[in-house]
Amino acid sequence: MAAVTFEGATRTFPQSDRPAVDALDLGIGDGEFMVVVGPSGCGKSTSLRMLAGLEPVSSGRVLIDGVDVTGHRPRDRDVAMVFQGYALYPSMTAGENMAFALRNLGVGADEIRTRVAEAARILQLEELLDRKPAKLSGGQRQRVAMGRAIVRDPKVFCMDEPLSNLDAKLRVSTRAEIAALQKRLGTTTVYVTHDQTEAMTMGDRVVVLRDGRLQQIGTPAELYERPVNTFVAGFIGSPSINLLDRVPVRDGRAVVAGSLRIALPAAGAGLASVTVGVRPEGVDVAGSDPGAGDRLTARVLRVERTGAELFALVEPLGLTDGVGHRGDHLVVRLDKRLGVHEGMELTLRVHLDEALVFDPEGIAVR
Amino acid sequence: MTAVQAPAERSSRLSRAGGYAGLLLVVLVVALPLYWILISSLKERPDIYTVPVGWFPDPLTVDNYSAVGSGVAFTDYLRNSIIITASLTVIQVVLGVLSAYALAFLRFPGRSLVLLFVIGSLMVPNQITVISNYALVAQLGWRNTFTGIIVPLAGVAFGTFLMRNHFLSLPREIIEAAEMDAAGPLRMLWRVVLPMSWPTLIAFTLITIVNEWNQYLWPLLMADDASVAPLPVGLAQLQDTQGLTNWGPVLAGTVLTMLPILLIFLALQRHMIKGLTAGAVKG
Ligand SMILES: Nc1ncnc2c1ncn2[C@@H]1O[C@H](COP(=O)(O)OP(=O)(O)OP(=O)(O)O)[C@@H](O)[C@H]1O
Ligand SMILES: [Mg+2]
Repeated sequence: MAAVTFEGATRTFPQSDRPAVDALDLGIGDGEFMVVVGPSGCGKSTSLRMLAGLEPVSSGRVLIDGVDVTGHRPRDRDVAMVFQGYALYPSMTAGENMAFALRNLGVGADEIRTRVAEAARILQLEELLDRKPAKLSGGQRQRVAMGRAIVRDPKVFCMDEPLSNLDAKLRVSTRAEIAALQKRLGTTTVYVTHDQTEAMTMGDRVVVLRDGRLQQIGTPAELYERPVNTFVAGFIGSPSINLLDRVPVRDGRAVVAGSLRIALPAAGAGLASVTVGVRPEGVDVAGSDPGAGDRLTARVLRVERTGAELFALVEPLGLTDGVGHRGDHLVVRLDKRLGVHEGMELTLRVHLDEALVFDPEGIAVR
Repeated sequence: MTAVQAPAERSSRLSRAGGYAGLLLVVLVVALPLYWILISSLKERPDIYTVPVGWFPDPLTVDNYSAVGSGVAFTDYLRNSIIITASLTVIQVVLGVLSAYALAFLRFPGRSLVLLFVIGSLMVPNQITVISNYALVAQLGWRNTFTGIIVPLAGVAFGTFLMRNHFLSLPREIIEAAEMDAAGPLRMLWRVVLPMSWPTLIAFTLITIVNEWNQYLWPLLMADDASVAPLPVGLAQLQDTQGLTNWGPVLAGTVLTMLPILLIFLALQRHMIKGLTAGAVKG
């Protein structure tokens, strides 16, 4: 168990003019489950591999437990990694795969047997210990890869999209298992994923990267409720937040439409126009009362039902001149019992306290 | 079934037939001389030269085979061949694997230069180095010794290159996993890398065995007598002692020379199957 610190950690690949990870500053507490998310190519794996020692650090430092490990070999860092493709040794049985590191470290045979048996019990692999990876299912391989990491009882777990090769159902159940296992072992964990649902459900804290630069660190709730910029707002939450650009500000209110005026926080005083973010779930169908500057009329273009939920893709009507929305429609989540159908005109009530305001550069105004 | 076929199906059948015809042609080109050697070695002396050609030995005789033994010291040559081939194979496979491992996985200054050097040496034909090698070996007093035959042949550029390329094609994640699992270089090689490399390694070994078994020019220059000369040199000797007209014993000697290699090939080739990384990585 240990705390992990990135201090301005940068990795520039040879023949590349732009760093893949740019001056990453990140502190991960002892026993914390930190999830790293971001779109493809944003530098998640590179960050993780710098921690594991598989990728050299161009500048900056990586510390584990206060010790600068920047120049250390992977084996000297006491870090275990679960790879995206599992990377099991094909010639060894599941049990041998799990025991390999312990053997290399010179742990006694009895001790190895006990620890492998314990890990196998936790991961329900007891029956499979004598099988080679080729004879295991995807989910079982994933568990062996987890087992290989936990038998070592390392200071830090690194996991690089360990669930991305599983089918959707298994992914959901394994997600919960990994989170529970981590709580139980209390090992500091850095978990990379591009799936924001995994990030929201698993992490104690989540860090969002974009083009190698850190955007925001925070608890899932903080990221969802108070994103620092439009990128984080758009990345966290599914379906994505609706963003309305170039909303003019009058009398301290962002006037999205005549009937929808959002009060700006004090910090937004001098702004002439802002970007407003409204989450699909921050909207209801309004009653017949006139409302309090929180109404927006819209026409339903299409209805998507997932069974449990109903999403309406709508075109907003009566927007203030010059206001534009990203994408060709807004998405709102509505009560599935309402009988919403295509072509219908709706009056929506926007929960003003949940609406987000960003300046023209996309930085949150608070 | 109806006789109607889609045009595509017919043309694919045609091209398949063409493929088989090509295959047959190649087999004939390769197999006919071999068959000819085999039957001629089993014929009586006059039958070898009769026209029209007899495709089956009639009468069948093994006299030629006993003549091989009496003509030259066949068992000596065989022993020498085994010594030379076995030493060279062991040396080359060990050196080839180790150097390939270093070039593929270890980071050290000048690595690409070393690789360039290895590839460069592949492009120098043997014939060019023969004279300088000869001068050197003679000076060292190694003429007519196994050392003199084996040491200059022990370079492994091809094997290094082959194995390195194979090592680089292995899933990178597994190597990294072993690195994280604190496997030292030898353990990594033996427990992780080689188990995924048997087919390539066996192919490399087989090529080496065949190559060294058939070495002719260098041993011919080095060896003066049956104490160190391998079989190919012995066969040439056999041809000399039999005169230019008695092909029977020469061909019988040729068959006997090929036989061990054929057996080794048959024993090893079924191990050259692919699929050793099955289940290792996904995605
Ligand atoms: N070995 C390499 N050489 C050069 N550039 C690389 C190398 N590996 C990664 N990159 C670049 O570095 C950037 C970050 O890559 P990285 O693998 O960390 O992304 P990622 O966030 O893990 O993406 P994904 O979700 O697709 O796995 C990318 O732009 C990628 O093209
Ligand atoms: Mg990645």
